[in-house]
Amino acid sequence: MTTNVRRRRVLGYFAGGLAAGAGGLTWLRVSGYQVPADVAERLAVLAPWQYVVVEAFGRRVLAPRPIGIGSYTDEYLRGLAATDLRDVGRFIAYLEHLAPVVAGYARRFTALAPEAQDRVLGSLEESRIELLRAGFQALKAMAMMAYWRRSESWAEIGYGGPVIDWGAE
Amino acid sequence: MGAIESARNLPAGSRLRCDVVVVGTGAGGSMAARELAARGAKVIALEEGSYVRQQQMTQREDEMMPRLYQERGGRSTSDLAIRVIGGRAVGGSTVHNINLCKRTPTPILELWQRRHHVSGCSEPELRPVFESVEAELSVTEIPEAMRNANNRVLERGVKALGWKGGPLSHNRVGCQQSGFCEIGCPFDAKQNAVKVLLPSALEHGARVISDARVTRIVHDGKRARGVKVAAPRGVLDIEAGAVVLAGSAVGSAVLARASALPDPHDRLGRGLRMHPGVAVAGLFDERIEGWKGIPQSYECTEHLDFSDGSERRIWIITAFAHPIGASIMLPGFGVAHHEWMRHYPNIAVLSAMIHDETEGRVGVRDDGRARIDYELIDGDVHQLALGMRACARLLFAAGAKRVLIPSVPAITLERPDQIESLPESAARPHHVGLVAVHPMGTLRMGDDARAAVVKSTGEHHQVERLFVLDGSLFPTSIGGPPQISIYSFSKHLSRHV
Repeated sequence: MTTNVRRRRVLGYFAGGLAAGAGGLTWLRVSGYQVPADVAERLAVLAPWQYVVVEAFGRRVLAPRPIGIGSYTDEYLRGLAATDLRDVGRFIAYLEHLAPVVAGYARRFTALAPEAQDRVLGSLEESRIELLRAGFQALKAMAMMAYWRRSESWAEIGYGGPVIDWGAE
Repeated sequence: MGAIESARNLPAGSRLRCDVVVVGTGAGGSMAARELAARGAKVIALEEGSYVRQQQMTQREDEMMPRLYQERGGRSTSDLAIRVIGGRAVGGSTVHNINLCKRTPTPILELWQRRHHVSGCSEPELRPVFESVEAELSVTEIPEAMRNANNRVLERGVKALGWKGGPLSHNRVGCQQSGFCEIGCPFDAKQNAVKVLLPSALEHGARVISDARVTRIVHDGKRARGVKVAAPRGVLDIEAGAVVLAGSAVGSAVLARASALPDPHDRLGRGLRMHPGVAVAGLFDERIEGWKGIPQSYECTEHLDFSDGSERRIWIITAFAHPIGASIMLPGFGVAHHEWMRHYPNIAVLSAMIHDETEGRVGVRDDGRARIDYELIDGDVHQLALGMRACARLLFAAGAKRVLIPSVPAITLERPDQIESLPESAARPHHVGLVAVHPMGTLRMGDDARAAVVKSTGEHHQVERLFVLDGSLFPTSIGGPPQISIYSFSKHLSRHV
């Protein structure tokens, strides 16, 4: 009986420690991200920390003429199924916390210098893990949609855009 | 004549009755609805998407893709390697397709007869049906004067190499050549399901109801009795003397599997062919401005042979995309990617689509959406690699200064003599963006109940009064655009309903 109690107590401490550790990691994962209050209020899908990661991703993917893609991404994601949202969330977490480690950096993606961020993104685009390649392509697609839906972007490449304007009819 | 209705206006618990309920309003469903209504049947045709009117076609990719495409245009195979395009609006894929019209190749029909026990569908039996469908849809050859610069590049390459090629046919009348066909025509020039067949079905008394997602075929294992519908205001029940599935090779298979139809030989959803394609871009000194004009009007058939066992299974056409599509297709990111986009007006794009032998399967995910398992076999990867090389040859022969293979990492060819060294791995899924726009063959037809889901009449082998009248029927790929085949098989087989 005593042994059993001790074992359970030890397991309890261990589980408690794990929970505290996980809580700490979660806190670390989502803390230290600055998002303007009005932007954070409008987010429906992305957590503020995810918004910061997506913005950082967009800055490198859309260089040399980056635009903010966080709000558009949040808006786009509202139309996706729950399972897809879960996958997007996992990829954003991977990009921010694990991809830099795999690429040899000891800091978050958002804390890296632009050149280091490019190396992390390059490693994802060419990853041997197909799901990571696909995750990169999915987030890149959102960045491209945010950028190339704008008439200012069309002007850069001589694309005329729609030839019909129903509003003017 | 009635108008297209929306299920938004039907209260939950509504119970409707008809002779035939048709699931899907694309090429197969619209034809079936019209044919059956014209014969006096009381028909209800259901569409899960909305009715997108001419005035709602804004020619903007970001707005139209979510309106006209399944899963907002983001549907893909379960391994995320191949983007799978399908329509989701009244008119189905005929609203966004590029209006190419080709009959089912005769060698394919002969193969189906010989190897897949399909009867009553030989070329002589189908010829009058093809002719009638083509006449009704105003199919004509696309005039040379309407060939845009991207298609002239393909023509120039074909002629320079002495390869086989020629003009394509289409079903457009009054085309303004604005170049936005794949995101809907605001000029109403497409002679498609919405423009031609559904109005005719309505004239004959059919009801066409949008925003109505069929979740289950009601049956007792022996006979179909109707369908259950998830509508915006709740569940609807439709009792019918017959059920026609025409929701595409993906949608019909999902519904069949979700409905627990008898499947003694494990055939439901199997045999998926997708006609996958890969794009190759060429950079020219001249401005191509491929976004202008009819997107596809010329084909290269040098590497396409439908005879049994052929290893020439490549159909080459143009494949230009508007900026969002193009930017997603181009590999890389940042400055290098932006540099390619800067050349956008000077780029011509060709696509090699393969008459695939890979057999995939459509299943149902936990959330009810399609699960598409499709792993390219080596023979098809080889065909894709050959197709990439053929596209590169055509582009150089037409005067390209550089050719880009949009693989990861990107491969740029500066000279034609580099083409042969192009690695086969560049054509592998996940190494290059693959797109499939013609899913077929998940509820195959044939008189052998062990190998096919439905009989040659389109009726299910085990469940009476349940018919399949869309691209799911096809026992193999047909190696080309399927709309004329789907319209024609639906017309030909709807007499059995």
